Amino acid sequence: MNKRILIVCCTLMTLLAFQVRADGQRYAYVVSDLRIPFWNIMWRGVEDQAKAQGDQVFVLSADNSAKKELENMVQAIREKVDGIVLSPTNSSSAVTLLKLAEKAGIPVVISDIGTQGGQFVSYIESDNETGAYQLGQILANEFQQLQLSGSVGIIAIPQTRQNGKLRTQGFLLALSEAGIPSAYIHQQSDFSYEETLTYSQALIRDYPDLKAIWLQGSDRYQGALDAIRQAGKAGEILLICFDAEPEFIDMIQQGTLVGAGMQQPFLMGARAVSSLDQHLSGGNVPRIQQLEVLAVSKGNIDDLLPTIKRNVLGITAD
Amino acid sequence: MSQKKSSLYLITLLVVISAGLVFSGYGAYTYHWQQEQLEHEIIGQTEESAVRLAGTLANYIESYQVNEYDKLVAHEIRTHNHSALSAIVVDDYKMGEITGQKVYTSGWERTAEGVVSIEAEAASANKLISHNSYFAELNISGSSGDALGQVRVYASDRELKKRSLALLMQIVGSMLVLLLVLSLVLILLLKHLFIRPLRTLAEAVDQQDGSSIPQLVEPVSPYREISQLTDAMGQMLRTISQTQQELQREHEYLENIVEGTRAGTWSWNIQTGETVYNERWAEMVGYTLSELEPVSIETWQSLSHPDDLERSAQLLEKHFSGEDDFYECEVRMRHKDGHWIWVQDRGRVASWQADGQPLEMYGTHLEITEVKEYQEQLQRIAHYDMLTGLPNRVLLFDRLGLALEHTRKERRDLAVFFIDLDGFKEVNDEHGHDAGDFLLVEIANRLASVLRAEDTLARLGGDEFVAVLPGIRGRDQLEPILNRMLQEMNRPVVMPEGTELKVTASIGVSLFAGERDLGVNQLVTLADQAMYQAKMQGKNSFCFSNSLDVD
Repeated sequence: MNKRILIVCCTLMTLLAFQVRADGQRYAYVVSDLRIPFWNIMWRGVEDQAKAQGDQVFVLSADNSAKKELENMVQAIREKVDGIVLSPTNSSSAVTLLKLAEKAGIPVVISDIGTQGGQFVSYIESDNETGAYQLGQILANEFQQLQLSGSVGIIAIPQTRQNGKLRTQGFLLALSEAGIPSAYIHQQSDFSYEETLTYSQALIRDYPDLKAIWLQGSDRYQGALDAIRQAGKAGEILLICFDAEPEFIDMIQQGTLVGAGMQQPFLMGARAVSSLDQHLSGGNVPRIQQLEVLAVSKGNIDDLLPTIKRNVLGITAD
Repeated sequence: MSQKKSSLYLITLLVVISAGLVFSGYGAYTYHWQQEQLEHEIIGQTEESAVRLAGTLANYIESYQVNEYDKLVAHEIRTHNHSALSAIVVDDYKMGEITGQKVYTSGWERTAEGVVSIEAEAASANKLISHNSYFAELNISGSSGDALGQVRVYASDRELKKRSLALLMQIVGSMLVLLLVLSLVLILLLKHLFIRPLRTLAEAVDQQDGSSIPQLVEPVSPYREISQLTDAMGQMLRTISQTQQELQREHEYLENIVEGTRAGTWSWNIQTGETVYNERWAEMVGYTLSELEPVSIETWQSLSHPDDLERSAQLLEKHFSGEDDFYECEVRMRHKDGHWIWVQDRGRVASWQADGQPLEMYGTHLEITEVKEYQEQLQRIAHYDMLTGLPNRVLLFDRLGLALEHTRKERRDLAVFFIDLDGFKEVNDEHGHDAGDFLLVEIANRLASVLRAEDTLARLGGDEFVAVLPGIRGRDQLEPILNRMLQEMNRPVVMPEGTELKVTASIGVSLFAGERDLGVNQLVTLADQAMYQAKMQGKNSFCFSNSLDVD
């Protein structure tokens, strides 16, 4: 009798333990800088998905410090987490971080930025090229509707970065198909307001036929707007951006911005956690997962608004 | 000649062996030297890399850019001229602090599969040192001088061995190619510059004309050495040809002389006895040269008359001693038929030994048998009466002179008979000179028959005879002889046709006893006077001379 009770208890405990393991994974999100909205929104996606799956997760922000990033990874390893979502400061540091995790036997899903090497479960990135191509098409449509004729200046993120290259490639393809010439491409280095302002002024000055500026980043859009306004060409020179800021919704709706290519950080974070869970459950996870960049314009913003709010801006409650 | 080996291959072989030895020596030296250079290079690479990385990595370590310095390390070991580097390991103290280890070790190692990242355990210093021969270690210091870590660069002798083997193969390969090229070039050059011209030269030399002298050689090479050789050979051949023509002319000249004079020739090595005769030499004595083989000086000695050999030896000795400039001797030699022939043997020593002894002598044999016979005939004509065969006046007086000398020495008497026939003129007149001649011959025989062998009977001319009788012991010994002479004269002479003729003789005798210094003419004159005395006394008698009446 006692034996039967013991066997039943053991079986129940085992099943319970398995259930706890399956539903109660403990993850760490090692991120470069949580102070940056993009990563913050992504963290919320991670957290939201973990919560939805019944997993535990904690975040370790390096505050853009290489040392702290390493310390965070070591800490996560010491915490013996079941999996790590990694948004590294750069693709180079990712290699070392992955090496440390691999040595500790902890699976890692990389969310954005990427890595130059190392072992990981999956890499989740935005489809920059397609997003940029669609953004280019939005601008071409705008040119057509406004019957504009002229060139487009580009203020790009460094073209040494893979996402920069893809964005330029997709956008120029769309312009080329529409027969719109591109003017000079300036590459950002310090991503400051002054830099964006200066490059915008230079484009306006050097290219009299300039009809639009494409800003490959989002956070210094004000520099471009100020340059256009200062040149007295507000309304004549259009602005279109990649990435998103909360105020872009209004700006697009008001026509201040022709459009924006919006990555979905919340969705990326959520996908990272679900991928980890899938991996730990023994499922197959694609090594590279590309998520759509939302090409938002005045024409489709109303339809995309719910998606933008959640996946782009991380707003989960009204 | 064609069966002999060509010197081309021997020369080539020797040159190749020599070059091979030189190249081998040079190759060994080069190999050793380059191996040292390689070792220095490898050591230099490790040290250089260590220094470069120690300086470069500091910033990355300080900024915790582990992957960046890892890439630099990978790049360092992958750099193509750093192939000797086998491993680079970085000990990162700052990273070690983060991971809670003493050091965080990372690095790259060259394996058979390529350059691979190595784990900390595999990167332990002792393990790597045991696998590598060269090692350089440097501390990495930060900008403030604090220790950031270490970099260790390893190089394996595997690369050294690999490159040494490649170097060795390269040297050996180059050497073999060089030797091959050298051999081919040498063979071609030797063939073109020397062998072919020499072969052409040899073939030209083989092309002999009728005189067995190679034909004149045309230039076979544009180069000086062979050209000089060709010129020299051409000059030599011209000289030989001229000399041979001269020799031929001289040979023909001498041959004509020998043939013309029908002289036998001989050469004699006086020291060895070796002798060479020509065919004519043998022919003189009735032989062929082959019949006399083997010939030597003994061949001549065996055929020569023993008496003449002695005289020949004396004359040879006089020539050898320098007393006579030439050797010349008349020698009798026995003919194959058994008779003797006369040979005039002449010669001269042509070469002498250092000690003054004669070495080689050359000479001729001329047959002089006919000459000798003619001389003898002349001798007879000069000294004998052709009708009777008796000594004539010349020989008479010669022998009489000799007899006088002997008589003086022997102290015996010498008698001279002067015989004159009585009635011979009538016989001539009546029966002719032939009958007279026949009578004279018969009378001479009869007179001779009376005389002794040592006596001399001579015919002075006409019907006058003189007899010389040496060794006479007084007048008494003469009278029987004289009487017998007269008797023989009185006996009729039967002529061939049967006629009998009869003459007498009147004989005058002079006797010389050596006591007075008489000459031959005086003795004959005395006997002549005595003969007249006998005629005066009635002929058919003899009368002794009164020597006092001579004057």
